[in-house]
Amino acid sequence: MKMRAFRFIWLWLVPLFFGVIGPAEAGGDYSLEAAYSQIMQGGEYRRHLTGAKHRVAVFSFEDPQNTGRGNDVALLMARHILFSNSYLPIGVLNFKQDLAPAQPGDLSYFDKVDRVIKEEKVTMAVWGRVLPLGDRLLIDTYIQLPRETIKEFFRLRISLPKAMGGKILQAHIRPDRIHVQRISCDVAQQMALIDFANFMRELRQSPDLNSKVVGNIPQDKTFTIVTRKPDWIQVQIRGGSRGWMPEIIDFEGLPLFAAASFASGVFGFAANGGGYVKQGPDLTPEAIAVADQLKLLHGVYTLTRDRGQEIIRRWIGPQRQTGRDPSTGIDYGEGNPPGGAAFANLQALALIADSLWKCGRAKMAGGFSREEIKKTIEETLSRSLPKKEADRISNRISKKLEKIPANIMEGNLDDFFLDKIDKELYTSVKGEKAADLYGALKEAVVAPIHDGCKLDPGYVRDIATQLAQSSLEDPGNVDVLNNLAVLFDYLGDVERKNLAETIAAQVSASQ
Amino acid sequence: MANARLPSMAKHILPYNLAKVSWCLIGCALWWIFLAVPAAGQTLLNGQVADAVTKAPIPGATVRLVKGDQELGSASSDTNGRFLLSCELPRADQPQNFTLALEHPEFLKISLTVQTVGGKFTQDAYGVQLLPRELLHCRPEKGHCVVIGYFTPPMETAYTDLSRRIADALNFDLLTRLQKFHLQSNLQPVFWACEEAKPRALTHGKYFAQALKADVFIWGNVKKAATGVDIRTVVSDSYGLFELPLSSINQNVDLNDPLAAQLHPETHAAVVAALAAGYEKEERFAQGIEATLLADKLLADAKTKPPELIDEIKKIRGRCQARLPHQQLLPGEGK
Repeated sequence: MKMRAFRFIWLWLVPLFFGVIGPAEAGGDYSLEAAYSQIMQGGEYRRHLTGAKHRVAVFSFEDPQNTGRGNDVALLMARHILFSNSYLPIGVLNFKQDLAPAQPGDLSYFDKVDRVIKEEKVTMAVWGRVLPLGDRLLIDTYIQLPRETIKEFFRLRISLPKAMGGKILQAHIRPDRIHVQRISCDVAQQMALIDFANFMRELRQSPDLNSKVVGNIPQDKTFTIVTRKPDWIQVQIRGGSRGWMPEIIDFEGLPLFAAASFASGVFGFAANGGGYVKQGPDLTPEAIAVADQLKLLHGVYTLTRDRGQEIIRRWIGPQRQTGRDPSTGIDYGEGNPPGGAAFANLQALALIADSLWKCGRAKMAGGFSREEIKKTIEETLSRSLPKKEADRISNRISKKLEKIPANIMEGNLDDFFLDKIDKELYTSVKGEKAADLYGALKEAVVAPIHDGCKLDPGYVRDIATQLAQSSLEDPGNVDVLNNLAVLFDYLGDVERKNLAETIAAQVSASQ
Repeated sequence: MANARLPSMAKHILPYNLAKVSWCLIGCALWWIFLAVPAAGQTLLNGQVADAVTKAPIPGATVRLVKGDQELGSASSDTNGRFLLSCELPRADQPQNFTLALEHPEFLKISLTVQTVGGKFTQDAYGVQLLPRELLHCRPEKGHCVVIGYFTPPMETAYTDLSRRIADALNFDLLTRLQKFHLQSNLQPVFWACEEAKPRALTHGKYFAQALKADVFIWGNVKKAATGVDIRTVVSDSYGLFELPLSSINQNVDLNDPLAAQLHPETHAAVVAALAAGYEKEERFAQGIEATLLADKLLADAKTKPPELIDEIKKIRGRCQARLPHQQLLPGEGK
């Protein structure tokens, strides 16, 4: 059996340097029925692995023909997510038992998963189904993102200038229930799947493939990652033994790897406040669409520049890409894009943001003092961070500021913020706090330049019309309706503003 | 010659028969008067009862008119399924409601409310359909439903439970897709296996769907093939979407293989299109649109794309979009 381990050398060196190895852990075989019964009975729900900041629930894949492969696939998914993100304080919960309705009309599949993960407050859920068809095995993989995760981690916001009302336009990724992959495995791939899964259950005495197997990781036990060496990790089973397993996250020859990689990437995006989600020919158009949206959510800069526009044009408009790209093999599907009006909404934000940028740039043509900017950055950071940390970060930003030539400063202050401060903050201050600080800095430094900007109402009306048209194709898209309310407010169209708000409220209540 | 003979025959026959005929006529007139003209205080209720699936008339059905615990009249249906019930109604100027109860040993009982105004029934005639007794457990009590009926087996092959296996397969294949756009649980269809539902003609599929109050009725047959069997699936809906039921074939399958229960994408699309029609009927236009978009996606994977189905999907979506409140957000669409 040929294996290839992915090297995270810098990942384990960095936490060692800082004396931090994320207490990533996994817990096994929680009963879905017990969890569901507890929820239906009401009262306080007992959550699992509450010590982990970011948690993912992996459900045994549905296995109606009892092939045993449902558990194997779930195990490989869980291991991949754990190993890909093991430098973070994450917890992987493994649930067993069926998602299919016990009686016709019972809660099932996505709805049932939703109910459990809402109580568990996890960041993401993974589930699916395996079904033997002849001598092949069909595997469907889904990921599901709770509403709270979407709101917190998968969003983009643009503040309109004060002259335009100062309200916020926003976009969140869609869909939140994603069919990631459907693959049909031949006999050889099925055997490889079984071998990998068994291999990933074994604990060895030392980090060596030839070392003695000291046991299997019991399915119902929680284990924690203790330490790592290149290509190996040591785990401690709670209340049990300690041993080594290879840090394998590439199941060579198995297209399942693409789904596992996608799930790990999406989870990592939430846990890190950004990141790259790999695309490939083994994913559904829906998964590709979500990965593309995540690229755009990185920031307004990506959204408005050529790269972002190219991404959006793949999905909407006359240049909609359909079918498989012959060069990459990526399938973009046909017809309406996955996610409904998600790309149309992002395009509306891109057009507005781009126009505001041009307006701001025109205003900056006169240039202004670097010293003023540095001072504003120091003041803003010191309001939110301890003095030592605020001074450290503002010094680093200021040094970057010094290196930018004056003529570039005049035209590119916004780019500077979007590129450099963004990266600096996310390295120094993670997650939600970084996003808040970024917003505060932009507000303090860039906003005064933009606050006087006011877009041509005719232009905004055209954008609103296109957005309203897209809402007919995706009537449940609350972002589109809320954004329409904001735009109509700016246009002074009170009737349509109120209508958009009313419909948005009704849709939100029904979902 | 015939003409010459007639007068003498007439002399002989006519006086006797004229008398007889006259008495017959008078008797008939009296009979009609007796039956058709109610006695003072009597009201007539007339109707016809038929099989909900085959539409054949049901003779010998018992029909009773009831108010509370009191039976006001009863009748039996004739060979054409027709009944004429005479009853004495309490005098009242206000509209009154009564219960019309029908039963037959081979059919499920039914009761419906009938109304009188000024002592007369508000309808000239009542058409009632009874569900065959064997279909008692053929649908859930309420909500959207897809009923999977009987699949006629080949003579040589024994198999079990194809309806249930198809229902289970549809549970995963379609419920997961419908849940993806957060369709509320009370709008999600139940996939219900009913081996007792055995259509005898192509048109019966639609009648089964309507009689069982299901959005869709699926049935078919199994034939021996070169390897394994060929399974023909036929889809009918309640809403008249398909002039002829939609048919597709799974060829050369092993009946024991789960593949036998997997329906083609165009069949899935037809089921979802019928659900969309159901949502439209309930004025749930957003859900109707979402379902049509799903039907489009399913058809994108289909090898055959029936043009009539594509057309119906577009029409449903167009009608639903026209009724959405979102329409008022477009410029020029004043309130």
